Amino acid sequence: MINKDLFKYSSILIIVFWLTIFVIVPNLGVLAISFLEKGEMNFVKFAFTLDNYKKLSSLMYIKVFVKTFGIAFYVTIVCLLFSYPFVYAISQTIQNKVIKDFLLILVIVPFWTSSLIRTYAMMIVLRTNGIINNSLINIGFINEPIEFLYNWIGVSIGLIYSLLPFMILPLYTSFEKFDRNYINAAQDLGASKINILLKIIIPLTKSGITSGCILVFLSTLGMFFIPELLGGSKEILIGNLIKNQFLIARNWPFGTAIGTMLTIIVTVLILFYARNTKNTDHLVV
Amino acid sequence: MNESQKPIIELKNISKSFNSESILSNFNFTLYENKFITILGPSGSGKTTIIKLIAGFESVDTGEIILNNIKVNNIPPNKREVNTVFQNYSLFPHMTVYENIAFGLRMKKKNKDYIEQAVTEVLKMIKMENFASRKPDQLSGGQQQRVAVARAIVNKPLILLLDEPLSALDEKLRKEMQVELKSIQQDLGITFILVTHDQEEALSISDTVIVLNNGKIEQIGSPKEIYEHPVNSFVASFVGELNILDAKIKTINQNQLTIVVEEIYTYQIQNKNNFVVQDKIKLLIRPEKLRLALSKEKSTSNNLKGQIIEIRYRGSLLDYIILINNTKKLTVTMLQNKDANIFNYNIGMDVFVEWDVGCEVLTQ
Repeated sequence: MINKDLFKYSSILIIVFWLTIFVIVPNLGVLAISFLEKGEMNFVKFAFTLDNYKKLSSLMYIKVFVKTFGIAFYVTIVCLLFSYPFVYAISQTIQNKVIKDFLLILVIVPFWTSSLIRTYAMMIVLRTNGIINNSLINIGFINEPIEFLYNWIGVSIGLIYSLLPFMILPLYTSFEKFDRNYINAAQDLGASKINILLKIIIPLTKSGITSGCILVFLSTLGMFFIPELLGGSKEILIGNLIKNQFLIARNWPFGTAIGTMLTIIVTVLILFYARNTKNTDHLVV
Repeated sequence: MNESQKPIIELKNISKSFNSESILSNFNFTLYENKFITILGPSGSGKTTIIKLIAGFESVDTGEIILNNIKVNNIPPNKREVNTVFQNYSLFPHMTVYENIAFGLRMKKKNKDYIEQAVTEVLKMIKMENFASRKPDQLSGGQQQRVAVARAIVNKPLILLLDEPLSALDEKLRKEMQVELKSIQQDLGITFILVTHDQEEALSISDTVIVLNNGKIEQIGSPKEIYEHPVNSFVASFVGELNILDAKIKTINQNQLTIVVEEIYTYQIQNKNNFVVQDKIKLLIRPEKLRLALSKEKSTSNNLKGQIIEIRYRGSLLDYIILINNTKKLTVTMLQNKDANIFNYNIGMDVFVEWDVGCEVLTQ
């Protein structure tokens, strides 16, 4: 018993210790710095101010926030629409285990390469005289190359491409737990295909949908190199804004204020979501 | 079976194979209304496949399925007037008991009042009015079973298909559910087709038993016919314990057969089959039809001489294992009552095994 307790407490303590040093303390630091003034010599001057947050409320920054959330929402929806049928097909309709594993490995393989390098590769594919444009011109489909890069098309393609696995993997996990007999049972009770999807399959894979959406949505909010490389310096997201404050403007207090604001908004959204789903669970009668 | 009734379902020349392995071939049967029918067979006999074909989850390779005079081969499961109780129940885990039962009616777009009334009615029937707002994982196995039945019967199907619905329940609960299923079937007057490998269940619950083996019907009949007059040794041994004796036809005199059992004992028996002289046949007889005696009784009884080599205690019953001819073992099951205790049969005693003429079945 003593040994068991020792194991239990020591393993919990190690994690608590780790999280305290590397998560809680830095976050408190970020919060603290966001209330300080910008320093000429040492990045920060130890003087309390609310100026950083006041600056955030200007229309220019609000626009970036709104745009970022809009893009994140759009990327999440597109990822979900692409992934859901794909995952349904590989987990429910393909019986051959080898083909199944092969398709899943295709999803995981990109993780073996740094996403920065993959984004550079995307540029080669998408640019004016890149693979796609050249092929389309060669087969005579288009005369002028399509501008994929340095606009929202490029940013969207890049974001969706790199975040797709974050949607597919959680969805796959919940589809693997999904029992095909429920479909038979629903069909037996007279449900049409659309009703089976809406009343049975989607509700029973909700956990996968939720975690996939949260992963993709949050990852988009923090992205900075994809918009920078594929969108040029024109199309910026919150991630770029924060990065620029730290590395270019050298304004740490303002950078941390943006970060803190982002954290607050995301936390509120998640709390709101958690409360809503809990309520609906009780409300459904 | 009353042939003047209209058939509720007909299976005509059905063939079905999976991965080029034939499960059913040239399969036929016709069932009539308001019956409790059991398809009994060992695993792999194709009984679940029949259920799936009728429900529409699998399609036939050849042949016709005719439900209530309509050919349903190309009608999808959601449009067939049959409902299924699945082996693992498949209750929707995200819905309450009420929603599960209402699901079928909601899919058929019945109005709210009708649904409310119908669901309440079946909840009452399965004695679970107080569980309407529970989720399936908050129910015991027996309760889940009841909800699965309710979810199917609330739709008033022409036929209710039950795919080994009781196999996950313990012995006592299974017996209770058998009684309940039977009474639900009688109350509703819906045809039930139950698939099982449990012969006791099949015999106690059904009006008609279909014994299946390797995708072929061995026998269709009432439980009594199946048990007392099995058509062959497969049916006989599948529906109960059985002694099999080798015999040979010695002479045939009109309807009287003279047979030699185990090469020693000669009997006269009525010829119900079309045997010819010198046919090697099997004499099948159930252990409870046999009696033990210390001395040879009247000549009306058939008897074999043997030695008790083992006694098995089974509570209300006793099994005596008797060695005949030093080669053949027979099981004699006797009720443990005062009468039987008068003789204290012990291991090693020489005894006579007797039965009444007519209890035995002769097959090829």
